Amino acid sequence: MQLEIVTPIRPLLTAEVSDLVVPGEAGEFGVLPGHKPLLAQLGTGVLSFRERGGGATQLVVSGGLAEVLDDRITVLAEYACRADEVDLAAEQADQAKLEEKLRSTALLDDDAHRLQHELERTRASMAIVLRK
Amino acid sequence: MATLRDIRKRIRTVQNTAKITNAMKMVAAAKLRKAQEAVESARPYARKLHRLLSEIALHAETAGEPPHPLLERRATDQVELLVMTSDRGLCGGFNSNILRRAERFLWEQAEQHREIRVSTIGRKGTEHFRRKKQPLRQAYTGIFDALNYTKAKTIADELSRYFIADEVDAVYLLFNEFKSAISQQVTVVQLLPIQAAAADDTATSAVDFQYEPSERGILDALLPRYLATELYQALLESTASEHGARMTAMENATRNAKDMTQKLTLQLNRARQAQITGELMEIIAGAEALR
Repeated sequence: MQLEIVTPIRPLLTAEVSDLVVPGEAGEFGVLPGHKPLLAQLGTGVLSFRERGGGATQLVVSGGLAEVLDDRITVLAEYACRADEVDLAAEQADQAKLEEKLRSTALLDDDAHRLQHELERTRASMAIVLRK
Repeated sequence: MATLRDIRKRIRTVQNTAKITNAMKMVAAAKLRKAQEAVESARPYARKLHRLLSEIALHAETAGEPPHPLLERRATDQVELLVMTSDRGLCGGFNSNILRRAERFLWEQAEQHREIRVSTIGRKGTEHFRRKKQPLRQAYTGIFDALNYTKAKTIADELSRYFIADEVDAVYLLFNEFKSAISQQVTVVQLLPIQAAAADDTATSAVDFQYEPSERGILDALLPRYLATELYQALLESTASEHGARMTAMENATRNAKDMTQKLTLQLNRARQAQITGELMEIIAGAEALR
C-alpha cells in the first residue's frame, strides 16, 4: 500500500507500507491491504505504520482527513511531525502552559476544545519520543 | 552651467543610489527563491484537497441532499472583496495594479446594485482605501511577517462565519498570482460560496466511500480547510510575486542609475576639457599681449 502524508506547508513523506493505524476523530482504525474506500476525519494522536520489510514508524498528526482508495492512503493532516523532529523540551513547556490555560477556561468553551486538542498533540508527541 | 564640483556631487549621489537598489535587488532575489519554494511545497496539499472536494461534492450532488452551508449559492446582494497587497513599497506596479483592479471591481458591483464592503490584507491597500475614505470591514495587518497557515486559517474561519451568518452572499479575493519571477497577474477568485464543481479531469466518478464519522462530518472538516488552503496559497503567491516585482523594479532602477552615471561622467569630462581649453587660451592670450 502506498502511504502519503501531506501537510499544508509541505509534503511530509511517502512510503510503501504493509499496515497502518490512523487516529480517527471517532477512534483509532487500522488499514490493511484491500480496505474499502474510506474517508475519515482525522483526530489528534499517533499514526503508526510498518514499512514493507522494514521497521515501524510513528508520527504525530492532528486535524485533517484521511482517504483510503485502491490501496492508496492519503493523509491530509493539518499538523504532522516525525518522532525525530519532536522537540521534547518545547513540548513539555507547551504542555505546562496549555494545562494552565485550560484550568482557567470554561469547560464547554470553543477554546477549551481547541486547547484539549493541542494538549493531546503534546502528549502524543512526547509519547512517541519516549517510547523509542 | 553646472560647475565641476556640482557634477561630481551628483555622480556620487547617483552611484550611492545604485548601490542601494542593487543591494535591494539581491535581497529580493534571495527572498523570491524562498517564497517560490514555499509556494511549491504547499501545492500538493492544495491539489489533493481540491480533488477530494470535487469527489465528495459530486457524490453529494447526485444524492440530492441540501448543500453544505459553505457551498450554498444564494441571491447575491451583499458582496465582500478581500484585497491583498504588500506591506512594503518599492515593488513597481505590484500594488497599483491590484488597486486599479479593485476600483474597477467596486464600480462593476455598484453597477449591478450590489452592496459591497472591502477588507484588506497588507498595509499598502489599507492606506489606499483610508485615503479614499472607503470604510473597511477589516484591515488585516502583520500577515506577511512570519506568514503561516494558522494566520490564513484564522481569516478564512472569520469569512466563513460571516457567510454562514448571512452577512455576505459572496466573497471575492483579489491578489497577484505568481506567474514567473518577472511576471505577475492580477487575479480575482471567488472564495465563498466554495466552488466545488470546478472538477478538473480525473474526478473519479462517484466512488462509494465509507464516511467516518459521516458525510456531513467530512464536509465540515474539509470545507473550512479548503478555504484556508486557498487563502494560504494566495498569500504565498502574493509574497513570491511581490519579491519578483521588487527584483525587477530594482534591477531597472540600478540600470537607470548606471546610465545616468555614464551621462554625467561624459558631461563632467566635457566641462573639464572646456575649462582647460579656456585656461590655455587665457594664458596664450596673456603671453601674446606681452610680446
